Amino acid sequence: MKKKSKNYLLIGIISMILGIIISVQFRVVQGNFLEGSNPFTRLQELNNAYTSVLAERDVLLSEIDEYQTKLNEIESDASRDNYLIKNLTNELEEYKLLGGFLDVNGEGIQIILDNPVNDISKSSDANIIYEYDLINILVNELNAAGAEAISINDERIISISEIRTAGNAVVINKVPQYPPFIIKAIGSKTTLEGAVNQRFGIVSTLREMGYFVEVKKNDQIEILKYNGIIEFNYAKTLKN
Amino acid sequence: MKKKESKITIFILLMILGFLLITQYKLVQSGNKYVSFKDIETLTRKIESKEIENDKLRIKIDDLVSQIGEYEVSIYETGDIESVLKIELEKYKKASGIDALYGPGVVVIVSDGDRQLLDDENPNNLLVHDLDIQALIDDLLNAGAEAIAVNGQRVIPHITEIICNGPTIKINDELYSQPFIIEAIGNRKYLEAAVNAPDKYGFVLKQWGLFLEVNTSIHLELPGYDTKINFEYMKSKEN
Repeated sequence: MKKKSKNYLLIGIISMILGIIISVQFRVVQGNFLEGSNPFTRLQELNNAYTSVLAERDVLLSEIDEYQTKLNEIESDASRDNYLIKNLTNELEEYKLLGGFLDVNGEGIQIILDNPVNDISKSSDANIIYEYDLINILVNELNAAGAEAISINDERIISISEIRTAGNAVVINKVPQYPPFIIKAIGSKTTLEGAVNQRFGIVSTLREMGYFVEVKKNDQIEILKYNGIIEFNYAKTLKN
Repeated sequence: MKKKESKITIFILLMILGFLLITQYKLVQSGNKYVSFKDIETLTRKIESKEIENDKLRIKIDDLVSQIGEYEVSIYETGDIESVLKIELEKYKKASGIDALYGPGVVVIVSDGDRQLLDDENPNNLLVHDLDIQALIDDLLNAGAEAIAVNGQRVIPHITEIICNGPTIKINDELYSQPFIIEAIGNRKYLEAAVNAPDKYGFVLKQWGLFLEVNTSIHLELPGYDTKINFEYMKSKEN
C-alpha cells in the first residue's frame, strides 16, 4: 500500500512539472515569436506591414523616377546648344548603361530556381540558400555565354555585386533575397539557353540535386537598373 | 462499488474537459484558418528584406536630390553644367569598373600544390580550378572589396566570366595560367580575414595542400576593364 501511494505522489509531481514546462513554453512562443498575440492576428498584422512596406517602396520608386526625369531634363536642356555638354551627356549615358544604372530590355532568358518541392517519396534536405555558390556558377555561365545584363529577383548584378548566404537568406547587393529566385539575363537567347542547358551543365546539376529549375526563352526581357549608390571608401581613381 | 463510482466521476470530468476544449477552440478560432509558424516567419523575412531595399532607395533619392541641387547651383553660377557633369561622369566611370584604381588592399597568390599525391589520389585535388578562383573572388567581394583583378585583368561581376580552358583559365576572353595573383582593393583587415578565416574558401584550399599566400599592401594599382564592349541585344528603355 505504502509503495503505491508513493508512486502516485511521484506521478503527481512529474505531472506538475510537465504542466509548468508546457505553460512556460506557450508563454515564450507567444512572447517572442508572436509578440503577444495569437497566430492569426499576428499574421494579419504582418500582412498589413508587408502591404505598407510594398506601398512605400512604390512611392520611393516613383519619386526616384521623378527626380531622374528632372535630372535628364536639366541635362538635355543644357546640351541643346552646347556640343561639349551633349558629348558629355552621351558619354554619361554610355557608362550608365555599362554599369547597370539604366533600365534595359531585349531578348534573353528567364530562369526560375526554387527549393525542392516537398515530397514524402523523395525527401531532400537541399536548400539553395546554403548553396549560393551554385547561383554564382550560374551567373558566371551566363556571363561566359555573353549575357549583357543579369538580375536576380530584380536586383541588378553590377561591378561589385556579391552573392552570398547570410543567415536564412541569399544577400545580393546587400539586400536579402529568398527563393524562388527569378534570374533574368539579356543576350542571345539561343546561346544563353544552350549554355545553361548543356549536358552535365549547371541546370542539370541543379536538377540532379533536386532543385526546381525552369528555363524560358523570351523575346522581351526587362531588367531593372541598380537603384542605389556605390560608395568607394578605399579605391581612388588612378590618373595617368 | 467504489470502482464503479470512480469510473463515473472520470467520465463526467472528461465530458466537462471536452466541452471546455470546444468552447476554447471556438473562441480562439472565430472563423480563422490554421496559421503555421512557417508562414509567419516567411512574411517577417520578406518585410525585413523590403525594408532594407527601401532604405537603399531613400539613399538613392538623397543622392539624386543633391545632384539636382548641384546642377542648379552650377547653372546659376556659371550658366552651364559642364563641371558638375564631368564629376558625374567620373563617378559612373568608376562605378562601372572602367577606371584604373589605386588604394590599400590584399594580394592573394594561388598556385598548384607541391605535396606528394596520396595513394590513388586524383591529381585534380592539387590543381587550381576556375571554381576556386571564383570562390576566392566571391569571398573578397563579400568582405567589401571595391575592385578586384586577377593576373592584371579586372574582374567585374556583371561582365566578367572565369571559365576553365584546359590548363588555363579564361578571364575576359584572355587566357591565364597559374600562379594566379588576385589583387583586391578594400579594407585590408577584412579582406585578409576573408581569405584566411577558418570557414573561408582560401583556408579550405590551403587544407587541401594548394599553395596560397595572402599579403596586405598599402598601395595597389588595378587596371580598368578595357575590353571593348558592344551591346547587341540590350537596349536602354529610356531612348
